Amino acid sequence: MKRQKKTTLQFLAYISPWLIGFACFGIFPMLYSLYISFCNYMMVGEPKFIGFQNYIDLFRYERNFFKTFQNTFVFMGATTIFGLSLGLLFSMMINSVPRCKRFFQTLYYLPAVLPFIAGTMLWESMYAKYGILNSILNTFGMDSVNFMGYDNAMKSLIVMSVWGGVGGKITMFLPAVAGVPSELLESMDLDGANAWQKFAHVTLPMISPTIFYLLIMDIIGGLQAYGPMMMLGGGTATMTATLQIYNYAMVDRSMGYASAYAWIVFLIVLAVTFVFFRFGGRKVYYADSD
Amino acid sequence: MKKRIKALSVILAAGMLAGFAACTQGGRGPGGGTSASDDGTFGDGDGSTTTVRYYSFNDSQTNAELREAIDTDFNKKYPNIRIQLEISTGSFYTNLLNDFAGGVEADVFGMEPGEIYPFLSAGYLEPLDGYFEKSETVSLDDIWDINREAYAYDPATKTFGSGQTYAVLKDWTTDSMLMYNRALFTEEQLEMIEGDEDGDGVADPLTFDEFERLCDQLIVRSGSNITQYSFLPGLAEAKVLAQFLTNAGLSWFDPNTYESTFDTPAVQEVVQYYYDILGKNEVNNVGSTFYPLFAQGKVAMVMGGLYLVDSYGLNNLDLGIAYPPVKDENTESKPYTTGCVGFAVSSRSKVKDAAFKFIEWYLEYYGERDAKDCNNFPAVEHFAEEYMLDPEVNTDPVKYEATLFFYESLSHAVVIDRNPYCSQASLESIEFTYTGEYLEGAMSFAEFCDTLDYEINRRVRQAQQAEG
Repeated sequence: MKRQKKTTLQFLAYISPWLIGFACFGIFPMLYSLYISFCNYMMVGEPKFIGFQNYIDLFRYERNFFKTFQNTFVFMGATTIFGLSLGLLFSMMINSVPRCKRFFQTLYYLPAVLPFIAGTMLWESMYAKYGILNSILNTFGMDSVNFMGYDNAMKSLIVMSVWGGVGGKITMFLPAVAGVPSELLESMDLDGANAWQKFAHVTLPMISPTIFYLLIMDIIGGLQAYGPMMMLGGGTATMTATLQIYNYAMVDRSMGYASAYAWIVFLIVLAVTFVFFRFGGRKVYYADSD
Repeated sequence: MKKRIKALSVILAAGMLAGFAACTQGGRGPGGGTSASDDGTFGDGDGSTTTVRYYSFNDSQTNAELREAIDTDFNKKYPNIRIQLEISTGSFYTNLLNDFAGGVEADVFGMEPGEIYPFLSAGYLEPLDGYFEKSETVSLDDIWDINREAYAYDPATKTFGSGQTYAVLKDWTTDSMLMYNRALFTEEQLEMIEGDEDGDGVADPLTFDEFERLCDQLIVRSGSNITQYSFLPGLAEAKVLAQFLTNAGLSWFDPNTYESTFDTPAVQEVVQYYYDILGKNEVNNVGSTFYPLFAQGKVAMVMGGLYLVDSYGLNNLDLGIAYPPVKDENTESKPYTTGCVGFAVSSRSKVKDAAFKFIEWYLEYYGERDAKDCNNFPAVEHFAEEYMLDPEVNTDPVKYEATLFFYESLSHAVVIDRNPYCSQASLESIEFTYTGEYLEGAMSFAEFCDTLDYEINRRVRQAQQAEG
């Protein structure tokens, strides 16, 4: 018993630097923001407790509340689906040409090396009225497209985000695809399976842990996205929940209202992640778990 | 080995605790790091220095120049004062309020008329009148009168323009003057904006109707593409909207209740007029490239300030300048200044005299330097008159002509409308959020006005409730 207590204390001592950091920079701000979400606080004077008023205002009066969540889920869904699909597709293609593997891997990873702000500015200039994309369209006699207009802004942001993220996914998928046991694929060949059957029944289950990891990361990242929208604009067409929180907190300094918003987003992200872990995890194949 | 790991973990934990404790003690508080005296001397007389922390906007070129100027000039004049430059990242005023809330604000910091109210209401700012009275180099009488309108505040009546002065501008210009490319007017065989029917020696401003006609005449299209824009606002669209409202004798908020006026027919008429012009010019498709396009000769008219001439090489154009349009002949054109960016001092600073010495030095050193560069008008009025209006100093003829016109406009200038409970930045954020939706027809005009009205009033209500 004494030994167990000593071990516990030792364990706590070892992880105390992280625990203290997490408590100060993770738990405390979260709890404080929960408290602030029940207050009217404009960063001057003391927070005034107003009960559930911020939450009531959000659900009853917030004009963009549902629109921002719709945008958030559209962005998250599209970037996740296209990002994962393209990442997997390119990985399979690169894996099938071993001689050029390094070259293509580097080529596709380049956008991920580019700093986010530089990449976004590049796309901003491409999407501009006199940008290269419109110049190409005009060269072929087509009208300019308002890439960042109300109808196209979200699509433009999704394209940009998928472009920036696919390289990172390839680097994760490549080793997973390369690690699929060749004897399994060969035995499928002997059984007369076609390419799709080999992919669906061998490759996909074998790389499912990687897919699941990237899926969760993309979902969380997508639900928290605000950088591209903030830099490229787009107004209500691209306003995500996190960007709305940023605007309320940092532009309006309406910290109570922003905190209430943030807590709702947190609960939704938590619920979505939980659902994926609970149900998605069952489909993942872990070789050492059997 | 185990003992070493254990000892290491204890040391790490203790180190982190000590770090957090240091943070909570406000070790970075105003004037907190050094010896300080407010009796007119700096340092302890034993060679030590007084540190003044200056919180600056995130402009790397300006800050690099300031660092150099401090090294080469300030430090020679005031060897016992050390200026610690701290650069803002992110939202400047929100970070500054955060610093005040935590008691770790800088001694001197940037300030703008549109952002000053929360700092005034919390009593964070030091009145500067007494420091100017003691100053041997700069008096408040040397500073443009606009400084009073921008930064003098009476807490008892909650009004600007009277009471003590809580900040001082660095430099300024009227920044919503109508700048036009005369060559494009000539191409379209249009008269320049030069009529002077009232005979005061200054071109009369266009009326809204005349301006709208010009906007229609100057747009050039090729198929469905615009190849020449007639008018792009230049500044943030909401700022230019505020200028049009001002020149119609209106405001976007009620001066008594501070609530939005976007629900009133008079304001809605101007809003519709303004967004019609923006819509015709497909502003939602142009992005933030107004001035470069103007410099390239693709835009006939923009709104802006004197500094644009240098910043965008507008002296290569046949540049014309006029007052912003007015609703009708009976309305006065009041070109506003949105910036007037200046300095303020924390009321809790322990080194206020040293902090003011920095401001005093800046106004003198940069005042003369900026006046010689002939960009914005420096805070100290006589520098502007001495250098900027001298054709031997201001040698570029286009820039000189522009300087004369802008100089004349300063006497008509007003500070942009300020709503203490909904900042200009908030208005811009709201406007920016919904403009695209409205201009592309996804939202009706009534819904657009209704939304602006609701969003402004929500902020006003929250801020008023928070203030109690």
